[in-house]
Amino acid sequence: MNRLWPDSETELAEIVRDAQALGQNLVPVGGELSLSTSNITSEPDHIIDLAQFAGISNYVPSDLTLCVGAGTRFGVLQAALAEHGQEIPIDIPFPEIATVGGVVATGFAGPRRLSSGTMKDLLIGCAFVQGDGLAAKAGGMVVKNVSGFEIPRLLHGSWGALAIITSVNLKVLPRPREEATLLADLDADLPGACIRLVQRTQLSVAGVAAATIERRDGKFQAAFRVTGREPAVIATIAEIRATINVRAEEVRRGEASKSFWQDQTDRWSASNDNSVQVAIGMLPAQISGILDQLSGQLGAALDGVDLLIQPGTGATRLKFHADFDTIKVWWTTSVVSAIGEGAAAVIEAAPVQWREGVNVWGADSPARNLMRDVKAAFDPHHVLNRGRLFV
Amino acid sequence: MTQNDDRLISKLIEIVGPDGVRHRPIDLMVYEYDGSVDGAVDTASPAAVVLPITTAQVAAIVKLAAQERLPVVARGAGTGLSGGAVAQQGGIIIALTRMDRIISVDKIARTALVEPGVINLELSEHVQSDGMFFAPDPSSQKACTIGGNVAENSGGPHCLKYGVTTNHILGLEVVLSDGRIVWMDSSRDGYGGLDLTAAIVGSEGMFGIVTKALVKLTPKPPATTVMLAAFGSLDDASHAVTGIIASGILPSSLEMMDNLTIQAVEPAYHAGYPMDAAGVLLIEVDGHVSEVDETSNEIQVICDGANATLFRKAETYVERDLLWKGRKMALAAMGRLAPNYYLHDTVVPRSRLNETLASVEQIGREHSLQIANVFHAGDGNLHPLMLFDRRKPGDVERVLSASHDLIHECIRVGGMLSGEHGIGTEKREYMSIVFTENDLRAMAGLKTAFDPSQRFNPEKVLPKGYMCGEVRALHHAAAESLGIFPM
Repeated sequence: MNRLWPDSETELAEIVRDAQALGQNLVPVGGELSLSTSNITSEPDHIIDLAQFAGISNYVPSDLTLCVGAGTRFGVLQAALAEHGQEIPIDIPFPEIATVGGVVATGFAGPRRLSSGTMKDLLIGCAFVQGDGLAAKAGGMVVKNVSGFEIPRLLHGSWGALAIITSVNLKVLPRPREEATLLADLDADLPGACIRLVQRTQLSVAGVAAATIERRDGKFQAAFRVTGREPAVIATIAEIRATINVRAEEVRRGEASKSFWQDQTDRWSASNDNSVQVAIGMLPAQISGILDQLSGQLGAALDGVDLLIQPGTGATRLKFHADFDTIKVWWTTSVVSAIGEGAAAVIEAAPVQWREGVNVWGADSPARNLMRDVKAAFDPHHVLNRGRLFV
Repeated sequence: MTQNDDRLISKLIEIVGPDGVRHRPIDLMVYEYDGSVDGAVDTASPAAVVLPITTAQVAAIVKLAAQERLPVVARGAGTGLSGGAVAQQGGIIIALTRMDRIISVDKIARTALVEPGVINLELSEHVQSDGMFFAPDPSSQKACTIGGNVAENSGGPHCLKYGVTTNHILGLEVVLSDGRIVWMDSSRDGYGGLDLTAAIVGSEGMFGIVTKALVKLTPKPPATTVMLAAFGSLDDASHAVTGIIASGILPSSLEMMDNLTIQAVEPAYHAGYPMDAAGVLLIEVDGHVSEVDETSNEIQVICDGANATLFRKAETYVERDLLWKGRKMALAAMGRLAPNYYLHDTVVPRSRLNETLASVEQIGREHSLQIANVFHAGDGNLHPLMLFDRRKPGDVERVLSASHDLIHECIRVGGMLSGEHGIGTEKREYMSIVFTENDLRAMAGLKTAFDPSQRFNPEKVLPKGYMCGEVRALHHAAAESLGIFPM
């Protein structure tokens, strides 16, 4: 296996075309933090490192737009935006390592998606090399654009299976003037009560930017993030406090608030592949019920499990530190019946040996045939990420 | 009517009943056009118009069309401005207007499952009492449908803060050109597939027919303030816009109207726009009560710094609604100035707004046309309205020539062809100016993946003849030509 560092779109397109001609397969990489979210357990013919496609260009702060190379570290981008009082309102695990291309390709969102959406909402254009070697671009550099088909947003969350993204055009947002986080220790053994309480709070109090419930070491903690101008932040925190009404709580402001969320995001990174981490997407109203189902299926194996729940979006994560064999059996036989129709589940992280023979994408999408047709349009010979998504 | 036509009509009647099929020429007339300008977009008659009420009926019609090798054009309210719902290649128009149920609303998830014929504003009104609204609010929202919003990735004055339609789609049920019914999810945690909804939104009816949409609803902000600022020049008004954005304020709406527009709007609605202003800004901010107060004070300072001749905050709901009415009904008021208008939809980087407005003025002078400007200043989406009278010889030609210059000018400053209205047939020949052959090939490949038969809304978006592959040279010629593009 070779590792290649193309430094131009032309070179990259050539690499892809050669690979196609030779029947080889490629895996494009950025920060390599999400390689565990994959059905691939063997090495590809070539790893394509996008490091040379780094840099910010065409940044016009008063337009709130910029073009950034796919290999740019996410933290570098955020720092450049912060200088102009702007930001991308998404927390990314290990931003000093994660790349913009990787963030877009994996579609990572985080709890702030409750109020700020995802990278898909900020993507206004991109340049890419398809799996058949075609180098093209789509979108533009303006914040509203319906000129032609939406390839950039299709590439968001496409896990490098359609095209290698070389640069993206983004819409950015003003950085909030203030932020604060209310942390509340929840006195409960079961997640159900916590979920209802947090949902009620987050629905009735306007201006909650993000909300999570985390179980660590057996204890539940709710976190509410509020952003905006100071008087609004203070008032909203007070409202949340009054609604949630718990004894043990704490408020963190400014940088302390930011670092709480960065720490949580890092803690749940898909790069932690010494545990088995499952992410489930479901309706908020289903969370309790599905956790009950899992409890029924996994029994004691669910007891020591870390949980991260977004009661507002329905995203739920479980991190298993033990009972790996039990989890493997459960995953391959029972997860689909637990989550039911309409929900989605994926093994985000797991040791590579654990992943042998496992399909990390728990439930098959009803649109899988159409997805295969779209894959064939971009990458007919399965050059890119062969076997990662499509078997 | 040929025997084939009779056979087709009777088969369609078998699917939707006699009340669901229009085939007499007199009944087809209203479906020959949409909201676009006759002359910029060809009108055409379909073989039949079908009005299904279920997804199964849509699929059956599509399967029949496949057997008969007929094009299929999906249509909502027909308010589109680029020719997207006109059947220039003939075939069957499937009008989704009877599929108008709001199937369910999930108050915890803040979503709604709707049929494509639901009217945009009616969805917002339906969930208003739950403290929510559907954020994309095109000016045509009293008439346009969700299905149409999906097809065109519609925006509206509130998309500066709240995004466009694609930012509010969580899932879609789509009928493909072979009659398959597919549910597609938007990307989310735990999801391991492609986000096919991302491709469908903005695909102008060329990839599939949407028969259900799971849409995101937005919580109504606790407080909203609407302000009016007037300026002695469009330049000053643009400086205020830049100043507001540069200061880190993200208004929920930032609209600009020029004097010509005020001349039409103010006598009609008495919204309180000063008749002598060169331009006005309609600014809306929302959020927490304290936030809104602080922000609007800051905006006043910025407007004063940009030489505002007037600054007013709406004190009552009535005042607020009236200020908005003036903006939302601007197009309707244009009839006071001229019998016809051509509404453009170019979008430029906000920092080039001043320059572009000056160019618009110059283009107007050069072509002896009055051009009114009413638009989304916050996101650089211009809507120059070229006023004309199609009964006067030469007017249409001048408008088309001016349109050509306008589009080229907007591209020159880094803009794009369409912010909201879509490409349709209206702007497809300009696609070669902003996209290379590779770019167009990538788009054509995606289209083929969804619709290999090439029968869904054919000859839209991509340059004429592109999908046939016969006329590659056409777009090179079109890109280099400075003449008027053939219609």
